[in-house]
Order: sequence, then structure tokens, then C-alpha cells
Amino acid sequence: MRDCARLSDRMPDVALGRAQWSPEEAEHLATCAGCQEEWSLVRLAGGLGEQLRLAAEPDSIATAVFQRIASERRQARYQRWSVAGLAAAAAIALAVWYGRGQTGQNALKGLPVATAPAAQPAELAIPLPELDQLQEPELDSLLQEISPPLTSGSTLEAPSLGDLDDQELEEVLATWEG
Amino acid sequence: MSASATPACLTDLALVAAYRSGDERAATELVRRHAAAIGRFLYSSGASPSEIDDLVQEAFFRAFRRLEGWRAEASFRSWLFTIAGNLLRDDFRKRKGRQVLSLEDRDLPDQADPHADLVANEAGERLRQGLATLPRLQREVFLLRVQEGIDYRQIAAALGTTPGAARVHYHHAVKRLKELME
Repeated sequence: MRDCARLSDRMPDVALGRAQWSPEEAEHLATCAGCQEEWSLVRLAGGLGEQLRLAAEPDSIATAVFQRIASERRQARYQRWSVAGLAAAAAIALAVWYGRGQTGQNALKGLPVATAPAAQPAELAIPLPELDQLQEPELDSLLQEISPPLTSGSTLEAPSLGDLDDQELEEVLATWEG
Repeated sequence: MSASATPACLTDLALVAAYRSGDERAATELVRRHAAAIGRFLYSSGASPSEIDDLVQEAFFRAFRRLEGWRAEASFRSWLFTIAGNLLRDDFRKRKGRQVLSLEDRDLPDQADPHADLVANEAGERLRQGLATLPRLQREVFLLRVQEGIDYRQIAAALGTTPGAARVHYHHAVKRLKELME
């Protein structure tokens, strides 16, 4: 068995002509059916495809390989440039968009600031249908109950001053100055 | 490659270095040296004879594209064999995706049918079919050993295993093939 293992390990080298059987090995091979079977197998496998001839010459294969490698590199370079171009375009678009946004903000800064309309008493905007049912005296008493700051301090009074004539204005001033 | 050096005189390592420096003659020499062996390996592994030329081209394409993958721990040929083994596996998976340049008619030698005599060899054909049924490591270790005479240490380096495991794969392959050939 030990001889079989040793022969088995040496069979490829002997089959390829790189080594030769020693007399002891040759004797074992002549009497061992298992080793003979394996020896036949190794020789058959060693020669398998030996007569195969490639249809193409090696130089043609090499040329085709170089062409494919060059083509692949060109394609890779093109893809890199495409990606770089897209990135650049995206960066430019972003810069333009951001710049326009900034310009818009600056333009707004130059414009007069839109302010909220002068504070108007919310009560005036709110329809109060129940007031319609009140009589004149009731409305007067209601007005008197409204605290003076809301009425006298109301900004609504200021524009109405323009409607007053000189005499009336003098009277108003006289009341303010006491 | 230096101007005085003939590619045929250089080692595979020197040729690879020359090609990486831009010398295509060095790569052509590598193809000259190893194309036939790769073809035999592919044929023995069960590749269709009509596809072997294209597969050989594809194997070299993959090899030259990734030469940095060869670390010279195994021989260049062993490394090519592993690429060819991967190629066979991938070829069955994505046959449609493979692009191979057609070699023009003028590149073909004037031969009637270079594979006819091989197909006629019944025992060889049975062995080829048997090899195709083996697990990949068993098949590759066996072929690297019996066709190239590569030792287990180099086979192990090429296939990413240990010399002891490579030896076991070899003996498993022999046992299986003996059974199949009976």
C-alpha cells in the first residue's frame, strides 16, 4: 500500500518524462493491478487534448486581447468624463440656483418692507349681527362702556383729522392742550 | 523590456513586468507560451472544442486586465489556469453576456477539422466527461498535476489551498475517475 501511494505521487512526473521508475517501482507496477489502472489513467489524462490546435494563431489572440483592453479603457475614460461632466453641470446648476436665490433675497432687502396693516380693532372686522337689533340709545350706552383707550387712542382717529376744517382742528387742539 | 532582450529568452515574471511597462510584445510572448496549455486545460475540463479559441482569448483578456492579481507565488501558467477555471464556471452562468471579438477568417489556419481526431478518441472522451463531473478543485488539481507536472505547493498557491489539501483532492480525483472509467 505504501508503494502504491509512492507510485501514485510520482506518476505525473514519470508520465511527463521528468522522472523514471526505479527498478523497485517498476517491479511493483508490474504486479499491482490498482497501480496499473491508475498509471493508465494518468497517462491518458496527461495526453488529453495534446493534439488540440488552436484555430487562431497566438499573435491573433494577443492582438484581439489588446484591442479589447484598449476599447475597455477608452470606454472607462469616457464614463469617467461623463460622470465628471455631469458632476460639473450639477455643480454649475446648483451655483446658479443658489446665486439666484441670494439675488432674490438681496432684492427683497432693497424693497420697502411690507408691514402689516395698521392694527385695526378686531371687533370692527367681526360682524356682530346682534348690534343691528339695538336702538340708538343702547348703542350710545354701549359705546360709552368701551374703555376710552380703545376709542380715543385708536389710530383710526388720525386719518379723520384730515376731514376736519381749521376751526374744528383748533377745537381739538384746545381739548388736548387743556 | 530592454532593446537587446529577446522576449522568448525572458522569464514570465520579466515579461509581465515588461508588459506592465507598456511593451505589448512581452504580452504576445506570454500568449505564445501559454495559449496551447490553456486550450488543453479548457478542453480537458469539458469546454466545447468549438469554443476553446474564444475561451482562451477571454482568459488572456482577463489575465492582462488584472495582472496585478498575479503575485508570482504560483507560476504564471498556474494562475492562468485558475482564471480559465473561473472563466468556465462563469461561462456557464452568463454565456450571453460574454463579448468576444471574432477572429477574422484570414487568422484561421488551413485545417479541415483540428478536433476531429480528438473526438474520435473514445477513452479520452469518456475521461473528459468524467473530469467535467468532478468538483472544481479536484479537477483542477488533477489536471495541473498530470498535464503540467506542477507540484502541490504551487498548485496550492494558485488555487488558494494547502499542499496537503491539494494532494487529497488529487487522490480523490484519481479514485473517482478510476470508478468512472471502469
